[in-house]
Amino acid sequence: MNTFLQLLISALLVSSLYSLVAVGFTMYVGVINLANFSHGDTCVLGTFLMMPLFLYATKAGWISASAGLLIPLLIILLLLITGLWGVAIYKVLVKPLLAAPRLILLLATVAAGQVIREGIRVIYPNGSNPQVFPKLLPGGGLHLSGITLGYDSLTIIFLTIICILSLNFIIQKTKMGVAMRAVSQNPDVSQMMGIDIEKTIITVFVIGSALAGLAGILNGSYYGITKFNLGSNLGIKGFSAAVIGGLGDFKGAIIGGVLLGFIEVFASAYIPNGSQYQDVFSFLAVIAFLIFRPSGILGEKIFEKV
Amino acid sequence: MGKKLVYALLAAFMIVALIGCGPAKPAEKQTVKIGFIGPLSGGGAAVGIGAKNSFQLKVDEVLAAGDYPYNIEVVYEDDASDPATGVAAATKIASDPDVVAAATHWNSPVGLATVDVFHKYGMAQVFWGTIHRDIIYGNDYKEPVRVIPTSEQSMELAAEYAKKFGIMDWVIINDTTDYGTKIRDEFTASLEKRGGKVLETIGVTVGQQDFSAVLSRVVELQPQGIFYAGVTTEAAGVRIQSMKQGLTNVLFMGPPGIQSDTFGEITLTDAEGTFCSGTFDVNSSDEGKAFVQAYNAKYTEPFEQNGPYAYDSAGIILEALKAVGPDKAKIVDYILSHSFKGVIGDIQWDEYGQNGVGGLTMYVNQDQKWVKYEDSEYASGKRTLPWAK
Repeated sequence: MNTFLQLLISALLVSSLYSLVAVGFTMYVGVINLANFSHGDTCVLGTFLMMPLFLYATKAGWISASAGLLIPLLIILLLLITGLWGVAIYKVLVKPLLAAPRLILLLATVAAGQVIREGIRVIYPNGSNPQVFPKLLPGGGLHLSGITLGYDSLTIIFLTIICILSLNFIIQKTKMGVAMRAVSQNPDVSQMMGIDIEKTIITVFVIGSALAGLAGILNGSYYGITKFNLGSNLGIKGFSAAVIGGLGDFKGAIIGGVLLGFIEVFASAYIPNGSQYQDVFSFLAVIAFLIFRPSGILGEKIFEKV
Repeated sequence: MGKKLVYALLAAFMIVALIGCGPAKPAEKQTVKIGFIGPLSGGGAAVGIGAKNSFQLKVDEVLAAGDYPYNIEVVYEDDASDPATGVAAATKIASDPDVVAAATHWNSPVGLATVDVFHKYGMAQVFWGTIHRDIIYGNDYKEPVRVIPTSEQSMELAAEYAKKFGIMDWVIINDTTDYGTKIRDEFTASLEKRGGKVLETIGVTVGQQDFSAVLSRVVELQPQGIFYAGVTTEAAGVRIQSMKQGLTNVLFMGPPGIQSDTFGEITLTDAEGTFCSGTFDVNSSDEGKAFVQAYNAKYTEPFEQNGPYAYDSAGIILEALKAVGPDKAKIVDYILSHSFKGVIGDIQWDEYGQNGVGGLTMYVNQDQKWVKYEDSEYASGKRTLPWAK
């Protein structure tokens, strides 16, 4: 029973990280029908921006045992920077190609991901090598009858829930959220109704990129390490989660992320030698969904009109 | 006009003659190329760069002595710890007609992949870093020789310490590469020979980040020791996450693949009291200490665990080249039929080309550095070993 509960916590942690990435993915698909394949690399960019920021803050004496509160400020600063990065991606890459076929835009995002990856590798000192990521999250944990609840795991799960609830509030209750939903359903009619399409899309890129940055630094801080090419794996997992949940569906992305995290952790634990095949199980699930329910768990069936 | 021309020609002739009377120019030394391959990028780059620097240090020292008959140019290639990249690098070096011998690789899977390439081209291949048994014993080639001890020898030492500490119930977590599985099998054999028991072996992949499911199973099994058969990055991940799951009072041990300062840099205080059945302790001899001094005077990157082996590999190649000249076949024969004196001691090959000595050492992590166990505060009793707390 203890093992099961411990696995449950591990699965929730992995699910949280995947959900954060998947939500960004699904927002792009939902609002402008774009699978942004540079999204995973934006996660990693976040970690590689955070490392010099943290180093600078430490050297300047802003971060010490007594000044731990500055870490949240540093994280907020990082989210702003990655949010701005989202704007840059939109302005430089997406906007000029908005009228082009989506396949071209998709390829452009694949190329952007490659540029980020190789850029980090070339520009960052010893960028080819794994980098030790600073511990931004609280250490230690609660030990309850054989189960360990790490404060870092709890912080990641808590932050993910906060992000998801806030995002849900924005989408459901705010004017911008209404605009996003309207643009996702019919951009032409939305424009006729006076919705600023560009502003809406930019907001999506800011939120998506900031979430990616957050996912990156939470991932780095928990595992203690980051690599220039980590984004491929994170991106593909986030995309898979979004596909499982139903591309374009906000709640679906979260469900997909949770499902993927649970499959990975429980298959690793309960299938003999499952750990070495955990990616195989994840992608088998994706293939199964693509074959039997291509619209995902919450996605609507699409009927082509003749 | 005619006389002027004659004088001018005479003057020009004299100038040319005077120039010709200058001191005779010494004959140019022939430049010979030797190769070095290692992981200069990727997860093993720290080790690769330390070995590269050590290799170059020996070359520079030999050339600086002034009496070496050749100029040496070292061709460096990166194998990125990847067998395919390694084969490409090996082919590039072995097929270069100007290169006469090479020192190669840290990762066993890469060594297993390239040993055929060097054999095909008949070029001496001195291994400074791979410890998989089959690289030397899995073929009947005379080109490969290995300075570093085998994984078998290393795992014997690991099992010996397990017995010494009375830690007999183990779980082995191995990466699924040739290196990881070989280490797993050899540690199992060495441990069982001494009455120990492997409760379970669990495979993980290189590049895997989350080991929580694996470690939940380990918690269930309640072993006295966890052996990670793999290399630094994943070993560090396993260690950090095992501590998070409360596996604080077990003996955590790894093979030479984790003997990098990076392990301590990633795991920080979680590194404390972990063990590594590692390679030569360079501070155990005067030659070793001199190497450390010379290295540190020239380079800022640490030489890591394989530096001394790479340094000696360069010495072996240069000595053979000096003795028989830039002839690939003769160099192969010379290396295999001679013993050498290096910083790791007297290097003597068995009939397959494996060095019989090499100073295997058990290390414990103390303040994020690998320290020879006998010299540590754990051995002196100043600090308490994790399972004794």
